[in-house]
Amino acid sequence: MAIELRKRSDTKLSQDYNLPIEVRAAISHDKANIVKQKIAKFEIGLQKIGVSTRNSSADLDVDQKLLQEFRPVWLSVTDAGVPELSLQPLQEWEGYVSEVRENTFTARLVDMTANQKIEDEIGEFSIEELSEDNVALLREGAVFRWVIGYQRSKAGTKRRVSEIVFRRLPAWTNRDLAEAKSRAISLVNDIVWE
Amino acid sequence: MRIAPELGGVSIVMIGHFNPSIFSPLWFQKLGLASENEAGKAEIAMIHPEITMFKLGTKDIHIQLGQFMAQTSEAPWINLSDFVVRTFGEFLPHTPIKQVGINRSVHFSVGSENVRNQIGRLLAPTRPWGEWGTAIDQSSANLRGGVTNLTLMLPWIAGEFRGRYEATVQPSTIIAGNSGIFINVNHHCELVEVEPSVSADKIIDFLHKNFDDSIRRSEQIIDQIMSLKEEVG
Repeated sequence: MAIELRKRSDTKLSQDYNLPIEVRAAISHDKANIVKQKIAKFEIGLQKIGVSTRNSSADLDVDQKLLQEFRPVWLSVTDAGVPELSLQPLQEWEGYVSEVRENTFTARLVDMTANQKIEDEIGEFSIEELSEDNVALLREGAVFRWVIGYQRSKAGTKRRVSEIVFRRLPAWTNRDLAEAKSRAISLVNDIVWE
Repeated sequence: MRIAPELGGVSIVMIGHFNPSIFSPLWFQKLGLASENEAGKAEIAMIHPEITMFKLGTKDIHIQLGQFMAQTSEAPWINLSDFVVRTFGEFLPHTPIKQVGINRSVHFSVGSENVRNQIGRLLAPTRPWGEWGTAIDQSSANLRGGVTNLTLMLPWIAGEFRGRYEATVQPSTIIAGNSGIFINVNHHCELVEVEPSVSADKIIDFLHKNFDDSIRRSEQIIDQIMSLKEEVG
């Protein structure tokens, strides 16, 4: 099966911007002597539906003949413009799990919405409220975000939800360790011994 | 933000050199960046040497040879940053990455088309446009003349990084009744000096340390535009 990616050179434009890009790709392949086409389209823009912006170009990579001849058989997961689910936060905390019991866990909380830096609240949460994926990440010391917000579906339903999502935190990097060492040395040097 | 957005999201876009075909839901699962459940339910649009696209859990992932993008419409946004930081900080640290953009976008309703028009006039008065501005003011409601796209930019430079905040306001194409406004704030960062041997560490470090503040700053800009509803109301 031959796979050919149809791409005009001007699609390079998309790489010059660090804005969201919606891409529909084009593949043609020959299977059992039947040529099947998938239509290509690159759209660069801020919104996914028809507004012309500085970075948008309606037809960077559309072969109009192909588009007329074949209906698109492949669509981007974001193609419809409106996501299946959207959760917009009203309030957000970062939590640090301090104790895990049989049915509940306790956490120290930092109010991220208020831009606080220290944990000054304590919350107790039911493990039942966690999704299966998040139960797997629950342990003492684990860090999570607790969001209260509006969840909207593509169908138009809207409801207020409380969502706890555990973070898969980045490990310390060599750069982090070097900076920490540098700060530690600086602190030691600042100590005045009497 | 004083008005709860109807829709919105965050995306992280990086410019550099990538190998699209190595990314797959299974690869992220093996690295511990996605659960078995997420990888199993992933919607793969394409995995190809030049373009890879799939939906993994709450994230849409698009990778081309020169660009990596991850986006989500479901908070908490920090999970998107953790995902990108771990991918390139821990597992692909030698990837040459020169730029990153942190984008926060929202669609919100101001209640009516009239209020939206007044906000449009505040942002871009028609008077300086003379006769043409008058024609816009007098155009019929059906034709809807006025602001279609307005962008303001503030550059910054700090140490080895430079960039800009770029805020764009448009009429929302998603909210019904011509009463919606769309705003995207792009926090762009690039290396002042790009060495031939550039790797991912500096840009990823910037993303790791600045993501929360970047989102907060972007939401302050968005909130300022939202406040115009009170001004015209």
